[in-house]
Amino acid sequence: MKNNDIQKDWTGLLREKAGSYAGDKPEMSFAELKEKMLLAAAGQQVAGSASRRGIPAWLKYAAAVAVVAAGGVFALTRRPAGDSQIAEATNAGEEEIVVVAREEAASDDTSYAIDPSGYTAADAASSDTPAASNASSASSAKSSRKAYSNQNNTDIITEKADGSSPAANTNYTNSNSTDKYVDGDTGDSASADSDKAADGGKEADEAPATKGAPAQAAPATKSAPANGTDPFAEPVKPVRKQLKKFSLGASGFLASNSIGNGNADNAPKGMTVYTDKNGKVFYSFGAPTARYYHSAPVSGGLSLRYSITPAFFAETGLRFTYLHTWISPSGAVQNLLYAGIPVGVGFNFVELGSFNLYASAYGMPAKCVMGRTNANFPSNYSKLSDIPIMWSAGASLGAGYNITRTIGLFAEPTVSYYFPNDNAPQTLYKENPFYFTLNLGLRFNLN
Amino acid sequence: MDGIEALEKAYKDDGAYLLSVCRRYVRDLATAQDMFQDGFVSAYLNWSKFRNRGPGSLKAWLSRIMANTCLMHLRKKDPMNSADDIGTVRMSDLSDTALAEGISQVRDEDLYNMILDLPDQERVVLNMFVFEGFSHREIASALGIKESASAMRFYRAKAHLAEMIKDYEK
Repeated sequence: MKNNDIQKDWTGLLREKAGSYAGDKPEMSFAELKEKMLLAAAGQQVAGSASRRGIPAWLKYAAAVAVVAAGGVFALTRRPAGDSQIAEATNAGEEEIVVVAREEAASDDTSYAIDPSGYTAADAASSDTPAASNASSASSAKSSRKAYSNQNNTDIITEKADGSSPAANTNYTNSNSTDKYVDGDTGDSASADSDKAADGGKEADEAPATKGAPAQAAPATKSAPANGTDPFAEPVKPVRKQLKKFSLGASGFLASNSIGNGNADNAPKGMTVYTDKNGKVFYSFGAPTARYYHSAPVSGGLSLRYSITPAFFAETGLRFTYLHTWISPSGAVQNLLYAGIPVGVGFNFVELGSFNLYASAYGMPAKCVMGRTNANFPSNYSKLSDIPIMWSAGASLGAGYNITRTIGLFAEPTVSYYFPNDNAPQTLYKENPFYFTLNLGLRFNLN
Repeated sequence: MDGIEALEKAYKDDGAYLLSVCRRYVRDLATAQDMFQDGFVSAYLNWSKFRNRGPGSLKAWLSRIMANTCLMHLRKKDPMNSADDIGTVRMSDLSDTALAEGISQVRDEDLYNMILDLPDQERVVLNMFVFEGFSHREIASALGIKESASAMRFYRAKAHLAEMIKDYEK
């Protein structure tokens, strides 16, 4: 008799004799046991509704769609005031000041305080702002002096010695003090525009409509108001528009939770699923007490955003995700590194100074580019190509803050859904297809 | 037949057997009673996972759940991965054939009690190997020990059992 047969012999005998032995009877009657079972089932339903089962999947879908749709409607219905009269700068990639003009008559000696709060001429004249003071003094000196206060209350002033000498002294200063136009008597390119505007013999200036201003007597960027019937009797609002065609984002995300236990609904075949006395679900795979623990996924990558319009953008990039799983109590581990290419669209629906809010949606295929398991980890894959592509989709609401003109911070709370695949490795995303993350990163404006 | 009815039938037919499965792992009768109750509750909560593959399948499924419940309890109480004291291993002079013969001579109840008298770590490995049919690799994975440690514990359980049978024969 071979050794194996001998061993089978004594173990088989032991199993036969001791294994079938039934000793003491249970103390608890089945009626009591039934009561416990029903109570546990009720407790599991309550616990499940609060945590594992959570919000129904359809509700999560609906919420994500509603957020994106609401943002879209908001963006589409939001139009700047008087946009038909916007003198919009056309030089892509440059920060422009677009001035909205109103075709209403005004007196020559009118001061114009242009700031984001929408000062009217009368407001400016009666206020204590430097712009208003300058304007008032200019008016009393019989000079057609026009003062513009930009966002930083830096004056943009056009001054004219008298009605017959238009643009005798023109001084423009923008917020950054980078453009200064002084005195247009001869040769100066800035004042030359003003001179040209005044060539019609009118007392007032014609606006040098630089950078694409409309032909009407509306002052445009970096230009003085120009005619006798001044177009600036109504609030004049500068609208700052930024159209950075390309921006590069570098980001990583924080996961919402760090450990995931088995989910009974997603248990792969061959697993035994059971719960403890508290109703908590456990896996048993191969060995009866194994539990899968999933560390928080670590993700990072680069994204490239292309602004189709000031509101809408398309985005793609490259994202790496590292997934670590281990089995308790054996300590068997699985490490997977996925590389994904997200493709998405979004829109900005709020721009407030340096802050902006946007919503976006994406889809992403991700391929496992590195996978390692130790000897004890149950795995069905002998090579990387066996591991199927992981598909996901998500929606996010993002908030950005531009630190400088080229660098900004952003945070994107994102809801992602990882499409189930029975052939996929045992990962956190397989057990919890819906996942909330907070994506944080830097964005570099390339233009 | 719904879960409650099937479990009630299993309770009546196999309750004592299932309790003895629990005792093989935890020995203490009161604790085994608790494990038995918890096992039934788990079975009821996971009734949808049960696949009836003919007579005996429910009994086998329940005994597996009882074993799982006991192992979880033991792991909480006393981790199974404590170091093995190799120095205390005693060689048995009883051959496998003699052991098989000795087992056949012992009454079922006495044999069962001999298993209960084994040290916890050895008894658990013996149970998993002999009664649950796990390999040493699977036992090692479940208990968080090395495969060689599982084999060592099994060997020591066998040696202890051989000694007890030897004493029994005297």
